[in-house]
Amino acid sequence: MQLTSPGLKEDDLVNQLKKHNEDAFKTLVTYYQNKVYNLCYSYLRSRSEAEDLAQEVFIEVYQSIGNFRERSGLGTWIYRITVNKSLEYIRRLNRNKRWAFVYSLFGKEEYVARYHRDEMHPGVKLENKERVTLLFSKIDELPEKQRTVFLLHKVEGQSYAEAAKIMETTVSSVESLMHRAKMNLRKSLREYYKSEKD
Amino acid sequence: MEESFKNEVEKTLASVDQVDRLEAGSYFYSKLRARMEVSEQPVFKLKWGLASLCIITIFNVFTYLNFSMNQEEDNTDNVAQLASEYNMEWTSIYTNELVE
Repeated sequence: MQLTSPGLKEDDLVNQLKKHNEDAFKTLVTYYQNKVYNLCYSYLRSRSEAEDLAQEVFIEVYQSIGNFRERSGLGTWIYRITVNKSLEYIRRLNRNKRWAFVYSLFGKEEYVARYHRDEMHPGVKLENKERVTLLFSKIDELPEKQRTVFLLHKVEGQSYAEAAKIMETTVSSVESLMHRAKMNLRKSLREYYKSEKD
Repeated sequence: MEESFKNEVEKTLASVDQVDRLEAGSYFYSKLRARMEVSEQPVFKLKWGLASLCIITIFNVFTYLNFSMNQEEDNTDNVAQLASEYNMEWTSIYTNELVE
């Protein structure tokens, strides 16, 4: 996953970023904004929340670039931050939902009410709307690692090797997670269609 | 029946391949910079606020210590000066009892 901006190598870009060079940061954001935003959206499925979270990812990149040791590529590192931030956001949201009653007692309903999922994925044609909405609702039920592998591979188009680097695991582990993710999705979709028939 | 379920499941699983990639809004970078500027400001204020608080605390402690030491010396001097002005001797009630 190399940055393919003409005339600019990834090493040079990283060096410039470490000096907090404005142009380098703009180049990075321009190159990665759609990738980061798309992955955030796959997790959250809310355009406004995905944009907020994508901004947080780039703020984190800007602030922590000094800690980037270049053991992995810059893109891998940015994807890793995106995955971690998205999962963290979902955990926080679930925690807030559990405490919704307590928040409501203190008049802090906005902690939970702020988040609304879009009715429909904006990148879906109308004839596929129901299927994709159903599939994403089932993806949400997967365990975190299986969900991450599925989204990275199927939605982001990352190879198993790249997904393994992002998740700091082995390729065989990613293959196994993908196999289990598909198996679980097939199972829950079959149950759904059976219950629809009954 | 089982076959039709299987078909539906496979079609639904394959539907993810037809999802178009999304693009961040055209003003993404401008919004990001604006947010970074806003989020940088409180940190800047907090830093200076803490530094000012430390300086004020150190100044207060120094002033208090200095003042309390001076006051002790001043009191002793003042009492001695007053006693000499009025020809008062340093006696305690025990001395008085002995004299009587």
